Amino acid sequence: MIYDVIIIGSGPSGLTAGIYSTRLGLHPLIIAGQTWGGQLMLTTDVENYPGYRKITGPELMQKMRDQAEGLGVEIVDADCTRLETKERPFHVAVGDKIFEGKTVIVATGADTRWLDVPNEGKLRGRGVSSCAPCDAFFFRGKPVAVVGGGDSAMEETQVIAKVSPDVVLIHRRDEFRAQPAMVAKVSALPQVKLLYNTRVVDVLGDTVLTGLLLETGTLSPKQQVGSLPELVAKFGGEQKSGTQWILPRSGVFVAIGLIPNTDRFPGLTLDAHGNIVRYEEKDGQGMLSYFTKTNIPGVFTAGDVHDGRYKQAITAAAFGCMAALDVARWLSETDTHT
Amino acid sequence: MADITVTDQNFDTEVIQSGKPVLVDFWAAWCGPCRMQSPILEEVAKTLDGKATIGKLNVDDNPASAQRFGVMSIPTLMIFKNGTVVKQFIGVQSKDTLLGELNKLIN
Repeated sequence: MIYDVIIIGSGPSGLTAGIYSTRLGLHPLIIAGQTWGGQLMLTTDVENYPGYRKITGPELMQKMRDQAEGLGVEIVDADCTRLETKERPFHVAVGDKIFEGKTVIVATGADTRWLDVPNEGKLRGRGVSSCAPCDAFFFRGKPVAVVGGGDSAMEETQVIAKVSPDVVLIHRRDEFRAQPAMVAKVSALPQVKLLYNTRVVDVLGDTVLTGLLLETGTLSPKQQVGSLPELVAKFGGEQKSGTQWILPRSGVFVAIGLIPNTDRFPGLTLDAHGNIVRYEEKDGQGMLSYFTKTNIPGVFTAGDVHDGRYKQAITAAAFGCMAALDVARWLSETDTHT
Repeated sequence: MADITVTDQNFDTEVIQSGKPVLVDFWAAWCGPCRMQSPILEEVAKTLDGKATIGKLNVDDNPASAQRFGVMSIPTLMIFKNGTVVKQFIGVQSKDTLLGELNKLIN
């Protein structure tokens, strides 16, 4: 059995690629991964996906999956372990099992970037979390922190602020990258305090998180000078050294960015951020033709694994659609040449 | 479906006093990753065919049990044997991982 296209990943891009390719008359297979659904599975309310005034992330993904399966797309709920592209059809390995595909769409998305501090591994799930919607429940009434400065940090802060009366948002720079509307929403919350220009040196605690070891950076005009020492004094922490302070916290939510999932695809060209590079090909008239090709002919890409810029559910879905259309055209063109 | 629904009320009789290994899935309806875990647990239950028990505990409805075992993140999966926790997983786990652990405990 040789599939026309094997789609690796089951977020908005992978499932949309599945929906489009099957409707284009192709025979697709989705390798969904053990944890299917992608980043939206870790969110609560989605209010910017057209067609839904408000829907939860997991519900939206379930609908996409139901739609794909309803159209007859085969889905394997296991992780792709290897991609062999030396010969065609390509081999996509899932453990010992090999699936053959004429083309591949890599739509593996991106995962949480952790803080990479000494005690983080030990305390993950013990106060250190990357999913406020999943874990906020366990921190009702407790002091928590959110680390990060982008959209996801603002989202995590809003979610946790619904249950915690004491949220400190820690950002290493003196300005947030998040959309201004989101920053304004978070800044207006009385239970949220902002801490700029501060780095998390370690997470503290033996069996559960008890506090954060924080370091103030060099001062900048925007920084509220002295806010960390004030917070530390207010919440019963202590100064550890000249620039390092211990802030008592029961929970910390890490939202400092994402790492594209490319480790199983060593042959693909990546950019400086680890995203798969797309080769936008021009046709005879100098117009862009293919948008979703990678450096390997027959391997296409879609969604956050290649897009570190827009990173929205709707853009990921759109890239999935483009990849499916590209695959269909590429197959018809290569089939006529061979 | 999981083999049993575990609650604050039946935790001791169904899990602690069970003669078989019991895997308890601490979950909630609002937790996306828990939805990923559910079909995997169904597969595990099917494969085990009663040699160990798969139980699901809703943390919203049963906060006492979640607190008793220090659950701070879901899904958390705990395997009990002879009344004690012998293995604990945080986050979604594969069928192979769970079967591997449970098979070690099945006599």
